Amino acid sequence: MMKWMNGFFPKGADITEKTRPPDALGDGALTASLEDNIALLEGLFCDVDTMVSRRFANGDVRFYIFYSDGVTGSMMVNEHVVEPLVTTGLLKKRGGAHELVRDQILQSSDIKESCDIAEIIAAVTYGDTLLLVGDSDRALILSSKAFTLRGVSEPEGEKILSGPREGFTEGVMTNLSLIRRRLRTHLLKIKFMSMGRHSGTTVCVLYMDNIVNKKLLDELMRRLGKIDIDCVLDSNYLAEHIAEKSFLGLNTTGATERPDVVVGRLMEGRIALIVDGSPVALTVPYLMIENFQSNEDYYMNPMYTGYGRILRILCFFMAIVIPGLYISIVAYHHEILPPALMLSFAASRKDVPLPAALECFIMLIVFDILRETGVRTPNHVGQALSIVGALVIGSSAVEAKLVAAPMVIVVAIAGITILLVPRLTATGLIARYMCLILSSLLGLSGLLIGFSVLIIHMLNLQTLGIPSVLPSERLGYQEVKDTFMRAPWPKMLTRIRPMTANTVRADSSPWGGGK
Amino acid sequence: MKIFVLCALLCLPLAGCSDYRGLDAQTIVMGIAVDEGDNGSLRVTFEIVDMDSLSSSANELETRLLETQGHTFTEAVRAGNAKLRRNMYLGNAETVILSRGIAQSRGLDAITDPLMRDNEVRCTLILIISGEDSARELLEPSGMIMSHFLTQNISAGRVSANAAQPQTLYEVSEILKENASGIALPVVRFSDRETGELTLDGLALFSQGKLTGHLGSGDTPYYLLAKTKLSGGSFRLDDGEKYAVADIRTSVPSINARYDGQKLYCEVLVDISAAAVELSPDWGAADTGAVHGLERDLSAMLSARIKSVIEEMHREHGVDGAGFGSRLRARDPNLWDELSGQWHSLIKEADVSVRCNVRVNNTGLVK
Repeated sequence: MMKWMNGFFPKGADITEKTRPPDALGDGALTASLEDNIALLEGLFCDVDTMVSRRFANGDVRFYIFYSDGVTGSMMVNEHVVEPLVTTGLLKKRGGAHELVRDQILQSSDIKESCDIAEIIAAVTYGDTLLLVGDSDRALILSSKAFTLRGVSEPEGEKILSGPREGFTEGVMTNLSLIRRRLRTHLLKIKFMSMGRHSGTTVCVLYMDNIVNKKLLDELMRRLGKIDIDCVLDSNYLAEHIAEKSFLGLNTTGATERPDVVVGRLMEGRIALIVDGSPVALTVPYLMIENFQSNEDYYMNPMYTGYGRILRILCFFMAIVIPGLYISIVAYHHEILPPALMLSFAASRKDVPLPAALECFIMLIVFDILRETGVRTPNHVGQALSIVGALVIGSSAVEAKLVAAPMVIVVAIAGITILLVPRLTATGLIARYMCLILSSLLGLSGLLIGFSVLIIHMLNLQTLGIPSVLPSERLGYQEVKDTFMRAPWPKMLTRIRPMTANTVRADSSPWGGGK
Repeated sequence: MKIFVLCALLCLPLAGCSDYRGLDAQTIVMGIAVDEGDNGSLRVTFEIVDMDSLSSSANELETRLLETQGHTFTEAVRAGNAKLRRNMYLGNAETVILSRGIAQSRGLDAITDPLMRDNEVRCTLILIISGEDSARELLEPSGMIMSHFLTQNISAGRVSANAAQPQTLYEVSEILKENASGIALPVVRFSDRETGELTLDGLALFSQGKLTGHLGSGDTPYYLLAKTKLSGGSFRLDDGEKYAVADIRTSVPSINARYDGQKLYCEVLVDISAAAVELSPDWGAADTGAVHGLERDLSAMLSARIKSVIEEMHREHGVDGAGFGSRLRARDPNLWDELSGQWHSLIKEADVSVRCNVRVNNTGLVK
């Protein structure tokens, strides 16, 4: 197990073993023979044409460098590794060549020594250069990473009107730099680990040492330690492993592409996970109300943003209930309608061939098809698609008497309102169809059963072992100050208790103060 | 738990859908008129929405009348369904109009009982007595949904002393069940049949569910003052020399009934807050004393009129319109049990006292 992992994982959770490539590695270590070590490496990377190797010597001392083209800066290797080794006169001294090269010749600030083949493979495939010196049984791993990464830009899915516009990229170090720039304190702890048997993906755990609840941190590490997967391509791979089960698809891990959101959550006692190769950072624990929060809520007038937040909450429930409510009324409980409205509905349903419930199912599915298609198509095609969609499922379908006009309105409201809460789209869809099926079978009773199931499930949901709704189990001002409305910043005095042992914001100084 | 969920899911197909009715798969009834039919039967006319005229524009909505006969209301409904492709849906009916003949011969029970037992019919449906020869006539004008029009017209002035006070199906049914008070239902007739203009023609008075008399439209406001809370309407005081018109802001009645072993005493107290909206110059309204004089005169005039109307209802029609019986029943159930058998004779001989307290809060002098 790597040194930085000591004491970090519970017993039995050996990440190094899990990330070790399953190929034959001999005894898993280098030997005191340069030729044997070269043969081992070249055997392991047989048929990998991107690997670059070179033998050279200075006097009696032989060298072998080995790196992967495309992820390694070859200029850097030439100038700071090969050139000093070839031109130096220090190697004329006998004995201790390995130490001499490491300590006096190489011009690199980041040099590691290892004899472990698994570690060597992980390093070389991640852009580091391997240097073998003579018959030493230890290799020098020189940091020479040089990837081509996307630049920092505003995340498409989290656009805001006001506030910072930086977004994460696919590079873990870039992402960490965006966070570090906002938290210049030694209390921000950053822990690396490797996930995925084949991918060996770097996963980074971040937390504020003086704010985080250590029990929650241990629980997260326990869950991460249990993950055994061959490849981690995105943070969602981990999210699904560490999240609590929800048959309605409710999130129990937060996901964001914004460094300011991550920092905000770290300051509330949450733990962040950044996965190399993914621009989406995870945060845990994730409370239900976070689904309705936007980072913009904290950068603009609280009254204005509070109104927006209430709208989001309202729209989430509207998206779920409205189709079922409509079916309940037009199919079972006509008496609810005022006569004028009932006649209007009856007029619109005249000559429509399908029963209202079936019509609603079909319309919702058509809308979902259009929405999904719109997401997957380029912008210019998407605009054309929305026009066609509006015409097809709108006026044309009504004129052709395939659907009733109120149904188009119902589907449009249900479809649009759920877009206001993008983090709950999955839940909205599942719960909506559940309520719709129950309403179609049992009328308003069915709708109430479905809605009750949703509410009960939400109230029972846990995130990292704490309740997702009302985690503090109290309803004091400070507990609800950032729920339906956000209190002004001077009134945001405490953090929510289960997520942190340090609840007082004002006392949580960078020097570790606070309760 | 899993077995329970499985059972619940399996029960869903059994439990649901049986009540599923598409809006377009039924005949929507907007109003009902009940007249006397042949051989003592009921002639029931349903105002139904013509589904063939339905379009997405509600302006083009048309109704037609469907007439059926039956010895009972239920029979008449079944006969109506037999004539239609789609069964009738009574959940949106707003009005039931009764002819005076049927109200006299069959009484209200024959209609309210089946309507109350029907799970579709709204309890808020209102009952009206036709002032025309038949109940059907009120539904006949074309070009509008007459039932809806009637309901709108009658319900608009629900809190005014000068308008009709419609009684809902639920209220009438409760009074009938209680059998302690009389019922007064608005009588409506056309003032201009060509234009469909309606007018309130007083109240039809019911004793034990059957029509027994009629209260003229001039007396109706005074009856309403004793019967219900009001927040509108006006009264004219004219003693030949000077006159005044008062607008009611609020009117709150309270009634009481006492029995001394031989005679029934009915007491009415009405607290009225009013505004003087029109005064003849003789009043000198700037003077506080004059305002007090106006209050005194209004109180005396209203007390006398209310007493007169209640005594007329009691003595001429035998109807306990103000609800003294209900009041006594609620206050002293044992005494009511003793008196209920002879209530209708007691009420005819009852001694009625009425006290009105009028406060004139506004004489319009601010301007």
